[in-house]
Amino acid sequence: MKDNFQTIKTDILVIGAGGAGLRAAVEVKESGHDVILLGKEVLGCAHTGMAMGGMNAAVAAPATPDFHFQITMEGGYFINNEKLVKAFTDEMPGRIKDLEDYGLIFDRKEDGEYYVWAGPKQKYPLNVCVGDYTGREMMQGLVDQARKLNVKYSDEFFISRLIKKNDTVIGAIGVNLKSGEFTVFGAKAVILATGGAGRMYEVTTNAASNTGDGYAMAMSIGVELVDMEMIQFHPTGMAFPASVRGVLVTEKVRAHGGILRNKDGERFMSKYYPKEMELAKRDEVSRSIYQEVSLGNGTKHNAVYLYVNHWKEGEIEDKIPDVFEQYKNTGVDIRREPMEIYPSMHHVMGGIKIDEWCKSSIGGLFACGEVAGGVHGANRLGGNSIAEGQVFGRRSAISAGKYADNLSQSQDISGTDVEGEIGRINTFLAEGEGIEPSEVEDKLKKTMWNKVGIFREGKALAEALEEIELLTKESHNMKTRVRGEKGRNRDLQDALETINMLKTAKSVVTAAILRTESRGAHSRLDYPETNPGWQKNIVVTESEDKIVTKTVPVVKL
Amino acid sequence: MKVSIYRKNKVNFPEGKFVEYEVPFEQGMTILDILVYVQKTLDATLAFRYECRQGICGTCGVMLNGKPVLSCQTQIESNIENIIEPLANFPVERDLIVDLKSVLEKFAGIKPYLEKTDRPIKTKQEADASKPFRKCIECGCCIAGRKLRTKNQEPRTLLDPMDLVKLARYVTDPRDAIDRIKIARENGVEYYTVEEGRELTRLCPRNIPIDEAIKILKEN
Repeated sequence: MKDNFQTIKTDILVIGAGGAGLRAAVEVKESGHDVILLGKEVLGCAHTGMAMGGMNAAVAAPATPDFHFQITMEGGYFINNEKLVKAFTDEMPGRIKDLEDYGLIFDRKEDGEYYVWAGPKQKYPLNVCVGDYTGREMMQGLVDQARKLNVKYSDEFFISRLIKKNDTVIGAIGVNLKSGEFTVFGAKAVILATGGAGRMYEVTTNAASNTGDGYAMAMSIGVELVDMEMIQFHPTGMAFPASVRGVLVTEKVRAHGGILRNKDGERFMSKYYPKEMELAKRDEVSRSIYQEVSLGNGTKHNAVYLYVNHWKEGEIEDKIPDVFEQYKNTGVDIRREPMEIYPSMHHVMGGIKIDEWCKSSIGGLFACGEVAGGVHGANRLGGNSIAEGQVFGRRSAISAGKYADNLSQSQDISGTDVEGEIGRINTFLAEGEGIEPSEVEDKLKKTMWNKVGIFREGKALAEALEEIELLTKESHNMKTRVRGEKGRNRDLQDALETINMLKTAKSVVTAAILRTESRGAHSRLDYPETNPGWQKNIVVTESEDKIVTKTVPVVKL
Repeated sequence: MKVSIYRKNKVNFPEGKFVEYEVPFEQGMTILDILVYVQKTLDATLAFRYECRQGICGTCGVMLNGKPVLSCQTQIESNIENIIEPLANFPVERDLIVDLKSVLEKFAGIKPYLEKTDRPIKTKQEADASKPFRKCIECGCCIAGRKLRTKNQEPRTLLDPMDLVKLARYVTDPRDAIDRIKIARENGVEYYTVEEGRELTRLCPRNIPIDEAIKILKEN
């Protein structure tokens, strides 16, 4: 069967329509270049919108960009790329202004100055916010701006492969999820902004679309990734009922006086971090909760309690209205009862290795947002993710624009590349016996949650790698249960996403095995100490289906 | 527990019909859990949208027993037969997926973006004035909740409740330069009553005061 496909040419292709991708597309459009923005979900519904508490920027004295730089490095255990952190923290105040130009209104104090709250490590407050739905308001502003500028976009569109020629990215190919039709995009430059990979874990705060597509597609064409072993678990995910397991409860709760207690009412953080208590760093609080529950001090849902019922009247509805609603919808009134929470996989600190202008290791490919690595080092500070996406979304656009200006036109994409990818996708739709994609996915989620979690250990990591190899073999035999139709074929989407999650997972585990120390989010039971000799980064690449690793020195200013 | 789900697709249900499914009930189960169970276990062709499970992305709206809701935030009762349909007042693309095109085209007509002047936000009060309207997640529940009793008399350009919320959002934002009241008046805001706004507010998953939006646009 020969499949039809259409070919579209553009200057710059932006893949991923979350905060970073939208910011990039807006900047590209404003600079006068032709742009197409693609996202897997309906425009505006990307995972960025789930960010709650706020975003860090030195917009209120006494905080300064230097202070923001310093705590970001400390928070990341000093393996962050200093050039990225510098660009990020210096430019953040300007990006806050941009967002307000796009329509956002960050919360104000009585005098009209920004309401800024202090997250962990923030001696000087940095977190600007809109209630506890900052990400959603940010998405709305960015979408409004994209609509205002008439940015061309196609939503519910799944890019499945990047096309490379002579070591340069020249476009991408993918499938329209609505119709199942293929489209080939030829571009002078490609910006990857596909977000994270939470769905490869059984319990995650992430949206369904976060399946590591960008990491996997980049690896498939030999692009370097960095820090992939660094996976953040947010200390406070909803624990019960099953339908909401893992859903985010913002750090703003603890920053405004939320108190953690075990099933016996003991404020257990005093045993682990008596000085910082609830405001220890995310990796620290997550480990504390894990240990507390492991000791048998958890609730019947293997969780701990988070109390806000001592807040003054009206403060819950004012400061955390969405958390209030989330629990209300499960029958819990947090004005009277505690929340049950447990850590939930939240963020991939690692990603495509970029320089401060978002250039990847391969020409024509730029990356920004969670799919890129290096800003957060070994542990991300709350409020730094949706923030840095704005800085690097803009930077990737400027950088890709300059790159595109040096090319007269996009290159033609060879029929072999197109047929190869269409052929790969069609194998999942072919007749014959096969394994269901969700079966492979479910096994991967368990492996990652149980063996590549908050605490790690050499033997379990080795088992995880073996299981992932096995699942990768099985995945070649995945078949969708719906054969006739490609449009709205959830199984087909699951199959493509599962392949991407497997590849991402393999890079995570391989790097985690190599780092024989504990640092930030990477806690090895068999190597519990932080080893100064490991103050360096692990770079992974794929070569003929094998993962190749090397270590590199931390990039200094 | 038995659940009736509206199905429509070219291959199996070209006309559109309700299909009954037997789903094991679990305490705390949401509509989304049911849909995922059916797709995974009973019929792989079932099409529906979801993303966040957090009630914030706005993509999973459906009708449950005639009422528009977000499927990820709505727990199901087991003692009745639940009926799940696509959002009303939208064309159905397939099964529970509605076509958003016409609604978004109309939305584009109201200039749904800030046309910013140099005037800054000066006080908390100014910042907070538009805040209830800025909570909209474009989920479409308000559109689905409208009873089109007066459809024949209503003009073709009649704005959706979501559009009114967006317009009110800019009216209450001192930075905006566009005459939003004029847009509202030219596109039939008079067909809305504050009472209808109140009904729609009760349906809104984000508790947006749609009645206030109508008041602002009609009475200013």
